[in-house]
Amino acid sequence: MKILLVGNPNVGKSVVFSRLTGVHVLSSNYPGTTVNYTKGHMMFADEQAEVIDVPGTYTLDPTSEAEEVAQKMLAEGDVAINVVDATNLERNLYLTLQLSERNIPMVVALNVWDETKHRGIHIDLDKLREELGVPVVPTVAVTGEGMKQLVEALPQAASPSHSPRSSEERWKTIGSIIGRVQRITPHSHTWRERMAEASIRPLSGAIIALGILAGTFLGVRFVSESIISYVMDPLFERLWAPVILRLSALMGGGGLLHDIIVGSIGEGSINFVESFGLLTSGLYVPLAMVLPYILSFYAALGLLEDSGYLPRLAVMVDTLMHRLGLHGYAIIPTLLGLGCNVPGIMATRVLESKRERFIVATLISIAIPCASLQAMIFGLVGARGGRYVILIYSVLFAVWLALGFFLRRAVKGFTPELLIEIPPYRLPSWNAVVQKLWIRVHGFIVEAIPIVLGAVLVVNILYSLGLFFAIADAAAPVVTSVLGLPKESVVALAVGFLRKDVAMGMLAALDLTTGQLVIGSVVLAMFFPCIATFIVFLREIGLSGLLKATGIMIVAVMVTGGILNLILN
Amino acid sequence: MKKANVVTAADLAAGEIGAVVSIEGGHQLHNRLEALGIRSGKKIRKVSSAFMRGPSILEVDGCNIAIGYGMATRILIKTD
Repeated sequence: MKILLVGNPNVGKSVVFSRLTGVHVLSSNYPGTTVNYTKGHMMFADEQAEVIDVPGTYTLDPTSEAEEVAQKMLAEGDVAINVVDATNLERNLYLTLQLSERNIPMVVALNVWDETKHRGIHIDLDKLREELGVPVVPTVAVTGEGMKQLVEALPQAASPSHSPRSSEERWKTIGSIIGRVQRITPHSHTWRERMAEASIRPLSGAIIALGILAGTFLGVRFVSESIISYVMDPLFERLWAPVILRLSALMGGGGLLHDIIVGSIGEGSINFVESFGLLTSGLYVPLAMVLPYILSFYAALGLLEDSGYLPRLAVMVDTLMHRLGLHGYAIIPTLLGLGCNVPGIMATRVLESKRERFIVATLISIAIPCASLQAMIFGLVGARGGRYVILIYSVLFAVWLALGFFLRRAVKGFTPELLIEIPPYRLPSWNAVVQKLWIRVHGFIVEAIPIVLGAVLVVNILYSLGLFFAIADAAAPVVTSVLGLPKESVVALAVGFLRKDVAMGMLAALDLTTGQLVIGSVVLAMFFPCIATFIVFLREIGLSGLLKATGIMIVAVMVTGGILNLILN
Repeated sequence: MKKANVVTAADLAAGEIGAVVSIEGGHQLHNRLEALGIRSGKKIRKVSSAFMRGPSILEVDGCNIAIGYGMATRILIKTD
């Protein structure tokens, strides 16, 4: 049996899904968190039932890709749970009526039920059941209230099977249902609502946006650097280094196997970044340098997502984003891309047109460095002076802007306008934030660490075979003349295709001047995205888009790197 | 209905309240706005608008909707 969770964006379908199946999926306080459907299982009437979290949709007339997915899923379901935001019954009922015109039995979950009380909204449940002809269960998915009753109501799921109506008829019906079922005690605007409005007013909103972004950036850096200095570095230096030194001695202090496992280490001391063994750099880079940033970045992102601030940020940056051929909502995939480009490009599905998706995905893959690379830049370039880190960020931001201006003109089509619902601010629940953080950190550990180890292994083997020198020689003329980097850096750039963090570690081992290190970091950030991003780009945007983006990328890298080379070297 | 009282949602001042008279646009625009609760007869409050033709924010049924400048100019509002 297939159970579908259907509803407007941001009504809490993903939370209901997690409650029903025990499968934790990402949920946030902004419309469009779920762009793809997620499947899970639950026991129902002694049999395994499949539960599908369908992307949020306002209507069944598809206007965006997420809505098209919803439309397709609907044909396959046996029962629909229509998740409805009880604080906004009128608008949510439109989808409910459309569902009732399909031939699918359904149950209505009246979610966010707890908030109706504070807002002076009274809903007569019995009358609503009668009007709709289906079971209606009040729920508070975040606390789990009403979930049991929801499951118990499933066998009573009914299909009113109304004949299709026009949209005017539906709104008329909704008007009469609301008139009989809902009573609102008017309340005046509270000071909290007034405060909340300050974040979407032009002037105060811009100040708040800058404050939040700067605070987040500094907070992430402070927390990460603290974890590195007080936890990770002591762990590696005091506990792990003696083990490695002992192992190195046992293996005779040299040889191919020694170099692969331990790497090249000096007498009695280990440079964990540059030694390049599986058990030295292979563990230190992902665990001690990158993981702290992943942890604090996603903690901050989770808080921002669940607070409901992100759609407000989208409003504030809308005017700027229009200059790049996008609208404000494109800032959300971009922010996700700062963690990892892969979910960033996936999230472009919330945007309406193919043109916008191509522009955002291209901008992300070229000008948005992922958290792994940023962590390495902080660690390695930061050691030469904070101003160089700022320089790298400024250059990438300028590239993002310039490329956006260019793409807006180069890619045919018009920029659709912003049209989004701004959810109310909510205090993020610690439980939800920690759970979401765990999903993402776990993802990093199981997906990234094996690739890091694989990359270190491949690099060692190719080095020992002398193959890298052949590659380096072949590409050397371009790299040395245009970018002003030593020819060995070709190898690091090639490794960037596997993992940017490992590649950055290789660059650091090359004895570069500070200028070269800055150029190397920028080029690494812009040059071919890692293989995971590449595959997702291909899948989401298509082959011709990928080829175009790659062409643009090569030109952009050469121009940016060339200009930096002229200035810095 | 006096013509002087009808303005577009883009021109409405922040804090002003009015009722939607009509949406001057195609079927698709109509449907998209309707799905978000903006349709003829609805009472709305302008929360704010950005400068430089930025998006307007309208409050409908206690919900804030951000809406691009071009679309906002096609929503006609009768103020009290």
